[in-house]
Amino acid sequence: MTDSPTETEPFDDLPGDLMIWVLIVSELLVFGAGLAAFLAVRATDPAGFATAQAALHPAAAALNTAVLVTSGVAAALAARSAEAARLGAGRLWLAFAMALGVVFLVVKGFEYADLAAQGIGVESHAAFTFYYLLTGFHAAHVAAGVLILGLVAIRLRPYPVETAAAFWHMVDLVWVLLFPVIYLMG
Amino acid sequence: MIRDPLPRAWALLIGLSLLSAALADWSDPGRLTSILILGLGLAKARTILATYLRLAGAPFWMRGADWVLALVGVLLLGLYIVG
Amino acid sequence: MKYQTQKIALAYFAVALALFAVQVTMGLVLGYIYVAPNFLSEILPFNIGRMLHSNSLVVWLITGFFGAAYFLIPEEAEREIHSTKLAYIQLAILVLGTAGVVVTYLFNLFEGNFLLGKEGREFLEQPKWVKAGIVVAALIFLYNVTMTVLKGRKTAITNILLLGLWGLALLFLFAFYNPSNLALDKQYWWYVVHLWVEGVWELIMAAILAYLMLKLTGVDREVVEKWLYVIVAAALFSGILGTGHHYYWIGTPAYWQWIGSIFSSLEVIPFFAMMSFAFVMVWKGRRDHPNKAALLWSLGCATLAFFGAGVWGFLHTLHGVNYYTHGTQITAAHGHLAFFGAYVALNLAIMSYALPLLKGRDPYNQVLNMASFWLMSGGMVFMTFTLTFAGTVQTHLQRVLGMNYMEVQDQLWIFYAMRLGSGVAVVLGAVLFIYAVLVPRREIIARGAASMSAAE
Repeated sequence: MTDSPTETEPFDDLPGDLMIWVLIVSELLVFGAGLAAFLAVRATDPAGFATAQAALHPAAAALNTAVLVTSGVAAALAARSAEAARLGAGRLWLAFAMALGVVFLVVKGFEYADLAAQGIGVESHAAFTFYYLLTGFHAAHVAAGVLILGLVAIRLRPYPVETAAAFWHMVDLVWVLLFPVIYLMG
Repeated sequence: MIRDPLPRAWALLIGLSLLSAALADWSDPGRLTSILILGLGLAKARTILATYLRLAGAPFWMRGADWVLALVGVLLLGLYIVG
Repeated sequence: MKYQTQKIALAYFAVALALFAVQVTMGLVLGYIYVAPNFLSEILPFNIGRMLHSNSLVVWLITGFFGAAYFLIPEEAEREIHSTKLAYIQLAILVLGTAGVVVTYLFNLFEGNFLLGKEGREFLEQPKWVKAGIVVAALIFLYNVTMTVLKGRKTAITNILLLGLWGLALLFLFAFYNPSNLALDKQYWWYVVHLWVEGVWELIMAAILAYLMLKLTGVDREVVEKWLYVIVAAALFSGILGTGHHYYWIGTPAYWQWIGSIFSSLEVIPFFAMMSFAFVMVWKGRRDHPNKAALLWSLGCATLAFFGAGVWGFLHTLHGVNYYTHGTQITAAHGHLAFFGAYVALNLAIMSYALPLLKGRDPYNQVLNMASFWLMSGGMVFMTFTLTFAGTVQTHLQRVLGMNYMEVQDQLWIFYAMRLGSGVAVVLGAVLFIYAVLVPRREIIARGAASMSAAE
C-alpha cells in the first residue's frame, strides 16, 4: 500500500522540511507583490519617489546586507555542525548568527530613528508607506528569526536547526531583493 | 580558491554586494546601472537559494526556483522600465 | 458506524438541516423583496429578514461542523466520545439560544435591555444571554471532543479540526468587545467574521475534506496529511493579515490597503490547493466507493469554493477595485457562492457520507441526492452570475457615473428577477436534498447502485 516512487520523489529531493518551503514561497510571493506594487505606484510619481529615496540611508542598508549574508552563512554552518553532532560549534555559530541579526536590527533602528527625527512617518508619502511596510515587515521577520535561532540552540538537534536556518535564509533572500529595489534603483 | 561551498557563497555574496554598492555610488544611478543593480540582487538571491538553502543538490527544485526568480525579475524589471 | 457515540451526529445534522430549510426559505423571501420591495415591509423589515438569513446560515453551518466533529472524531481517535450527555446538553443550549434569537429579533423584545435585548451590531446582535450560551456550549463541546482526542489516537485530521474549532470558539469572544468608536468596532467585528470564514473555518473545511477523501478514495493517510498541512499553512498565512481587505474604508490607516490587497490576494491559494487536493486524490484513489453522492458533493465543494471564495473574492479584493465595488451586488455574488461552495457544500458532503452510515444502511437515494447537487449548485452559480452582472452595472452607474442609489436599483430589477428564479431552484434543491438524506425509501444494493449512477 505504499505510494509509487515517481510520485513522492520530487518532494523527497527537496532539501529541508516541505512546510518551510511553503513558507519561503509564500513570503517570496508577499514581498514580490509588495515590491511590484512599490514599483507600480512609483511609476505614477517618479519625482516624489526620488525625493523620498534621497532621505533613506543606502550606506546603512548596504552594511546590513553584509551583516545579514554573513549571519546567513553562520546559520548554514550551524546546521552543518548540528548534522555532525558537534553541539558546541553549532551553538557558537547560532550565537554568531543571532548576534548579527541583532546588529541588523540596531542599524535598522538607527535608520528609523533618523527618519522619525526628520518627521517622516508612514503617511508622509506613498514611498514611505511602502518603505515602512516592507522593511518593517522584513525587520519583524529578522526579530522572529533571532528568537527561533535562539530556541533551536537550547536543545540542539539537526532537524530543528536546519529548519530555523532555512527560515533565516528566507529572511536573507527577501532582503537581497528588497535592498536594491527600495534603496538603490533610481 | 575556497573548496567549501558555504564560505565561497558568502564571499560571492559579499563581492556582489560590494559591486552593487560601487555601481550605486559611482554616479547618480541611471537606468542602466539600476537594471544592473537589480540583476545583482537576483544573482544574490539565486546564490542564497542554491547554496544556503541547498537547492543546488536538487536540480528539479533549482529549476523551479530559477523560474520563480526569473518571473520576479521580469515583473520588477518591466515595472521599473515602464516607470 | 463503528462507535455508538457517532450517533450524536444524527441529532446535530437534523437540527442543521432544519435551520438550512429556514435559511433558504428566508432567502427566497428576501429575493422576492428585491423584486417587490414592499413585500412584508411592515411585518418583517428587510434588515431583520437579512439578519435571519445570514445568522441562520452561520448557526446551521456551525451546528453541522459540530455534528461532523462528533461523527469523525470517534473514528479518528478510535474511541467513543467522552460524554454523550454533554453533547446533547450542548445541542439543547444551541437550540434554545437560536430560538431565543429568532423570537427576540422578530418581535424586538426587551429593546435596550443589557442582558435580554438585541445588541444592534450587525450579525453580532445576539442578546448577551445568547452570546454567553454560545460560549458555554462551545466550552462543553471543546471539553468533550478534546478529552476524546487526548485519550485516543491523534491524527493530523483531528489536530487540524480541533485547532479550527478552538479558534472558532476563541475568536467568538471578540463578539463581547464592542468599543464605542465605530472604526474600532468594525475592526474587532471582523476578527470574528473574517477570521472565521477566511481563517479557522478553512482549517475545519480542510480537515473534513481530508477525512472524506481518506474514506472515499482510499488514498494513503500520509499523502492526505501532507496536503492537509500545506493547505492549512497557506490558509493561515494569507487569511490572518488578509483581514486587512476589510479595513480599507473604515477609518483605519491607509497602509492597510496594501497589507489587505497583498495578503488577501493570496487567499486564493489555499482554495486552489483544496481543489487540486480533492481532484488529485480522486484520480490517485483506488477505491470505488459506493457513496457517489458524497464524492460529488466533496468535489463540488472544493471546486465551487475555489471559484466562489477564491476567484470571486480576488475579483474585488484589491483596494483599487474595491474602491468602486465596495458594498455593491458584487459583494453579494461573492458572498453567496463562497458560503455555498466552501461551507454549505462541505456540510452537505459530510452529511451525505455520514447519514447512511448513521442509519446503518447502504448509500440510499443517490440519484435524488446528486440531482439536488446539480439543482442547488446550478441555481447558486446562476445567482452568482446574475448578481455579478447586477454589481457590474451598479458599479458603473452608481460609482462611476454617480447616479442616485435608488435610480440604479430600478435598473437592476431584471437581474433581481432572474436571481429570484435561481433562488427558487436552490430552495427546491435544498428540499430535495433534505428529503433524499432523511427519508430512505428502500434498501438499494450498493454495488448495483454505484455502477448504475456513476460509471465514471
